[in-house]
Amino acid sequence: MTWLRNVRERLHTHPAWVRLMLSLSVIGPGLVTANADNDPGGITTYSTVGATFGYDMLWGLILVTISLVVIQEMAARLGTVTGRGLADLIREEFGVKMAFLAMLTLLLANLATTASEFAGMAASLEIFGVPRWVTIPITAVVVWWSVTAGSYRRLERIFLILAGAFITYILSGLLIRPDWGMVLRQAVVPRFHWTPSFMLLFVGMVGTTITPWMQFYLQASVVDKGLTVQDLHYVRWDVTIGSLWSDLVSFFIIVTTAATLFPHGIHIQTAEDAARALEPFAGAYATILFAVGLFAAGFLAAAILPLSTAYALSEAFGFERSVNRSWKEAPVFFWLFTSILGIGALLPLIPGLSLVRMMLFAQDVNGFLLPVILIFMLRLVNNRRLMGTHTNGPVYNVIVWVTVLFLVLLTLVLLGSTILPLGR
Amino acid sequence: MSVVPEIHASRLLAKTVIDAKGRKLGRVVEIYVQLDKDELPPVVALEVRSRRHPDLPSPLYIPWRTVQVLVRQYLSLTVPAEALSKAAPVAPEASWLPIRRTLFDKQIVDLNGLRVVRVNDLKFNEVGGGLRLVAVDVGLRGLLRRLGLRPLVHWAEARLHLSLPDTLIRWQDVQRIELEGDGRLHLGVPYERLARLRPADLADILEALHTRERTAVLGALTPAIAAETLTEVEPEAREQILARLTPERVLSLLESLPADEAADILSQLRADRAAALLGAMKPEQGEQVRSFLEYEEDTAGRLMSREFIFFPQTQTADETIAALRQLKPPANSTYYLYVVDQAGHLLGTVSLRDLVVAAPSCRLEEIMRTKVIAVHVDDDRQTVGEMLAKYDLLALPVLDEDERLVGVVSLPEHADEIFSAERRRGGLW
Repeated sequence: MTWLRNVRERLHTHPAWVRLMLSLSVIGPGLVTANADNDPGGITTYSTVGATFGYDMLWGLILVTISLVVIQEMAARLGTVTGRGLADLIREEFGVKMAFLAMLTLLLANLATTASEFAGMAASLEIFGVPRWVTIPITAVVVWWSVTAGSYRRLERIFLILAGAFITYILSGLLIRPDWGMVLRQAVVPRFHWTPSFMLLFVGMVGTTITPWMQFYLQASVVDKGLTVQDLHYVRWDVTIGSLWSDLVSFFIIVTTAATLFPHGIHIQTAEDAARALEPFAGAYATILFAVGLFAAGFLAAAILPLSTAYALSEAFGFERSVNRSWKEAPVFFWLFTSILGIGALLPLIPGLSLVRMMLFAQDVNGFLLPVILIFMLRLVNNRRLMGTHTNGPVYNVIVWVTVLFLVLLTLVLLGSTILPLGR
Repeated sequence: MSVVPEIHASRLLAKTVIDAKGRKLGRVVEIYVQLDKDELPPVVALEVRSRRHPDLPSPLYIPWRTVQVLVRQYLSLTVPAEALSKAAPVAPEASWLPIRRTLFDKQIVDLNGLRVVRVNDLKFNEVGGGLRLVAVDVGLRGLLRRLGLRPLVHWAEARLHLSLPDTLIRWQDVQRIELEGDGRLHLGVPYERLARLRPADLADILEALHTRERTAVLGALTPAIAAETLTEVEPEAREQILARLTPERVLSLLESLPADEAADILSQLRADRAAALLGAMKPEQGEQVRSFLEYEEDTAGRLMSREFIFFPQTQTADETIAALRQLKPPANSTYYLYVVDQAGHLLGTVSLRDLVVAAPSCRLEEIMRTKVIAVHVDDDRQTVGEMLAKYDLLALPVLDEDERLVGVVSLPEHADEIFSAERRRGGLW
């Protein structure tokens, strides 16, 4: 039952400045989870948003941030009040068939995301001329081995620091001196292009910011930390600050790419294209900085995703779980972990596939599937028997339902557009 | 009357009920069993819901004795629906257990296998003239059956020669953990068997339960058992449990523990909480615990227990044996007897064997072994483990800075603490 213990341990392994920041913000799972959000898929999506549509989607990010804060708070509240994981609650409250549906959704989304992490690592090393069929098998074995042999925590420290490279987007964004007036205007005035590419990217942006797996991960870490209703106040702060911080980085990625790549009409086809947004800050070292950050973020997520998926599935269906147990004691758990990691690593090896496209597509899959998980969460969080006085208020319900309906609507329109050509 | 020799709850729940006149009354949505302390619970009633018959109450409770026969997906009754609605009880009785709501998909404790498992399905057998709940199904087969994938199971068995065994737990070995609204254990469920488990096994089970259930189970145990169980629980889970217990309860648990173990638990709490608890303890016990807290975590000083047996060097073998008869010390503390001088310095050790074979008037200083292997209070856990292993010892005396004997680390008592680090460092979570 005790899982994600490393969230606590992690706090001791952060560099000093992160520790300071964490202690200022009351330290917690919310911040850690939200920042796990800036994985290769996320970076690629935000970069593409800025490079393809300039500042046009900024308003969307602002709205998504509001949803993110609300949804993460909801997940954390579910965990603190019930003391149970999300998979567990779904199984106990909705029965085995609904649990199967939820787990199938999570599995599909997480397989896509895992594939996107490997694609990200492959893309980062392609900058240095390392082909993907070399990068992926090696990293997959290293990830698998480090998790099962228990040396993951040491590697995690290194990669956590390296993944911090993306904070330079903020510096880059400030150094470019974009037209702030325009940025602010675009951030509040909605602009919608009724084209499939815009809508698909929009779904991807929502899907990478608010992912199904984060809901399971956050709730589990809250439960694992043993947080109770008395801690709810701190948990709220933690989650809010975490979400805002993570989206601040996202905001600057869009701003920098919109200011550097969009005017030149550069479409992101490889990681190298995306890296150029860091040039105002890092100059000639921009590509290296970007590649290192992308690889590190990919590595972290490539370990966490298969693991948390195997965990949630085992929780829902009652298999023995925990990496502290042996293969013999928890065979299903280990097989799940291994197969998710393996399939995730194989997908980007399909010949002729663009790694960037693959990453974008994975975020779309997350966006398409997110409503399923959100509806389960809404049903649970509004259950008085479970939540007592801590059910959702009307504003929260409206925000989450709007998110759900918006995603469903976009999904339907996109489905329709494949049949009836839309826009141009 | 035998409706069916055996059936799973998932299949019974899918049936449609037909009354004696051939009217379809609706589908079975719940099965009630009668809880009886020593017997396998018999099925007493079915709950049927249907919107098709406005003249009948909904839900409709059907006594199992009116069920006549099971044919394909239908259960037929011996009476017409009208007779039923007059004769049938309006509400289920308190001793009836609705198995779908209380057992399906829930976690239960397997008292025989000592693990926490999730219920996938339930099995009923014809026993003693009634259909009784005999086992819960926690395996993959039950899971697939619930998902409506029975054909897949048959196919896998016929074509792939895979055998998917039924993983059944006898009802007698099932411990339900049911909570009241206020988070306490439901009193209608007997918990004696759970409370009779060994603390180490109970600790494993607690770790696998949800936080609220953990706290409730621990809250229902006697302070002595609860305290002992708590010391066996992994530190992370322990912290969670303690965070949810009331300060009074934590205090009563700490007070029923030896000082070294109480110190261990306190040292893992938040400083302010630990200080408050320490202040609230009985003065002399608080003092003892505090003296342990002076030693750093993971040192021999923290590991050791202060209860050990020592004798002055001038005492004779005979006197010593007499003293031991009087003391009746537990086996753990009699591997070695320690011989100390008046200032408390360790002079040597005597084993029970040495004592028994020695001449009765022999003084301990004549038979003791003077080459004593000992550790100091600030030696770390690894050193302690290595010394025990290297010299094949069952217990090690612990000395303070002035070479005085202050405690003993014994392998049977402290093994998990001495060697737990390696295990815990292994995993990711």
